[in-house]
Amino acid sequence: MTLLINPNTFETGDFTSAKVYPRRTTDASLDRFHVIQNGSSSIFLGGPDDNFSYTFKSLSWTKGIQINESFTSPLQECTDEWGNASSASGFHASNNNIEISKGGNIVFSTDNSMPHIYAIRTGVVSFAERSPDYLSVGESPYEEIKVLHTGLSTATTFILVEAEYSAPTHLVGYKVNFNGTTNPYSIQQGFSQGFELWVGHSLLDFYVDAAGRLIVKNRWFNESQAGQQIPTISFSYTAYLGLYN
Amino acid sequence: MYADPDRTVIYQNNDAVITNPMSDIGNVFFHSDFNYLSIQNKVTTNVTFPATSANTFNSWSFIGAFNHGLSYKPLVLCHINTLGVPLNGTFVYSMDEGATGTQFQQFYSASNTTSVGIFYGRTSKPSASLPSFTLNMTFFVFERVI
Repeated sequence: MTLLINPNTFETGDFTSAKVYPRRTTDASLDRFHVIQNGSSSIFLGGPDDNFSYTFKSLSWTKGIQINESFTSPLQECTDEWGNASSASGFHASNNNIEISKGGNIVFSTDNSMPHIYAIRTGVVSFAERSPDYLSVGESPYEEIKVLHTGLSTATTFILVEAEYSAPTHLVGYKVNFNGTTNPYSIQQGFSQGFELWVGHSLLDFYVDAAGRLIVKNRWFNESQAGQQIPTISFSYTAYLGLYN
Repeated sequence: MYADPDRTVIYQNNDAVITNPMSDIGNVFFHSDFNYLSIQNKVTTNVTFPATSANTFNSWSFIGAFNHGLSYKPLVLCHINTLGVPLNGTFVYSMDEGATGTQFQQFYSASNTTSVGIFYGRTSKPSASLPSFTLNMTFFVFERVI
């Protein structure tokens, strides 16, 4: 891993506004050094013996990972026991990885995949009423997802979908959640038409296809015993498209 | 690792991802420009499904597992602890009806303005009554991303 430390980005100020940077070094004995900026000079914290003595009063980053009072004072560097028997909290960086630990538990590590949402799509889908004994597959208009990246396959893509229905009536007012992988996953709906008679099922699939398109597919299965219709299905959806990386 | 007042990035090999993380996503471990799913609450509870009388259907209906106390209808993921499987999409739960065969319930996770729970229904009629059953589930309630 390359850890970037750019002296030119250091800010001036006192410790209460200082920032902490992991320091890259080619010297393995120094690979757990941290640097804290105070005014014009860099102050090294930690070292080969990982012996921190400084108590951080308040450290925060404008965005992203925050190191603040929740990481107990003194901010502790851990060695090979990181995250195991240790009850320490702190921030650790080496040539191999970056970890953040709280109470002895690793809450972030570059060794682990950390899915993130790269696109959010909303839309409205409606499938028309179907005639009795209809058996077919319907698809919504394709929606192009703008972001699929060179070198990435849909195997690294996941999707979470919330759907809020305007029909069928038994789902109105509820947000139904679809979750799974890029394989089609679905929700089955039964439609009651008349007393004690279920006439059909609708199976909705949300997935991202190999071309990177968000597909909403509806499959009807008519189990009609009395030749009644499957009603219109319509819903608004929010799809969270993410990547494992 | 890089941080400035506008962004924090954990990455390797390619400095271009600091300002354009999507240009080489494979080398980005964390970027503050991305949305990460954040769990608002985690609740483990028992969900009890009602008994079914012989020769009747269970209409699709909602079983509230707990009040979420949020101002929105949250996205929810669920794990069925009793069965050791995630509740992905529609889950089909089978019950041995004895000599007359097996009956099935379908259910999935859902939320409304007040509650998180399970929508369930039966689309076939058992020839004999089926008892109530209880499953222990863990719900992960997410913060609203948008």
